[in-house]
Amino acid sequence: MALRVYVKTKLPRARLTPSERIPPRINGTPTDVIATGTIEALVRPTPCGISCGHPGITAGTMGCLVRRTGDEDGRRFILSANHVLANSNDAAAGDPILEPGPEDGGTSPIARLTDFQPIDFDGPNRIDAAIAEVIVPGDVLPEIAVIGPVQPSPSMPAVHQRVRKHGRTTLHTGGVVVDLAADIRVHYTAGVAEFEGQIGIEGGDGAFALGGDSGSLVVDAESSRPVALVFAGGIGTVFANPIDDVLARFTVEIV
Amino acid sequence: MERKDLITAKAAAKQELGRIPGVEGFGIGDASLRVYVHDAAVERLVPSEFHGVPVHCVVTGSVSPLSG
Repeated sequence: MALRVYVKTKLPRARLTPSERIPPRINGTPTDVIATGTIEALVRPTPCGISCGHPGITAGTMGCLVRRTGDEDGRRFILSANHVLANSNDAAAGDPILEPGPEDGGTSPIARLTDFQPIDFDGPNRIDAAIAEVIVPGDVLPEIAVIGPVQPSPSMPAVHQRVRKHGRTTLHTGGVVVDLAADIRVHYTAGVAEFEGQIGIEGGDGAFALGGDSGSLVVDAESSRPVALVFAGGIGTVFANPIDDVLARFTVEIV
Repeated sequence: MERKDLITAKAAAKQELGRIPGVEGFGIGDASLRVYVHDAAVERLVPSEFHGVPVHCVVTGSVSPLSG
């Protein structure tokens, strides 16, 4: 049993005054601090850039809305990370995707898992991504919260490029591209996976992304053209899949 | 410095410096190699230059997926 304390964003203890810190126990009861972002009424249609997830995970971010390239049939898909929509390979096509994610109290499916790129724990990876078909077309809007509409044509990433994203945990943040070809080891619960050719991003003022922001679409700060898909991070550096690789894998284009 | 030189240097660094325990990754920044390390103790084992290319060492801890 624990006392749950809901906060907009978790911050390092060093950035909080003593009166802002949640004590580990209150009257002997342990506390559990949970980041919720800004709590808003559950309404659909919903923009992208907000909480979602497979029932087997905590929560991630609905990156953007895509459609199969050339399709005019009205089918729309949520694009996010494999470990958000497909529970790090432990999922099957047709599984429900909740909005918001389970950690945020979500129980209502908004989409069904369609396809995911399996994470390979024995060889190099390029992307951690998946798509899920929206159950009721029109329930997910193509714009990203705060950012607005995304330009469909990807932007070639460049060092020093200013970017931004809106994610479930840190909401709207800005950052700078610092690495165009990162090869990194990512520590999943199931093991360590090697990723190659990743985009490195550092936050402009505080963290660019934290736990719960996986799946966020990174866009150019000025043009809102897509650059990358957030999937991992360490102290001060966030890593994202080049969006060209992600879109090519699923043969989709951003709506 | 040409980008192809940085790519070559990164590949060599992965072979050589990748053997150091606590090195989490390699990348290419602004005319430099980026070496991602677990902590400051590992950082001290990484040279400031590799095959003539400046090395920018970045302490990341363990890099993990960013689910909530």
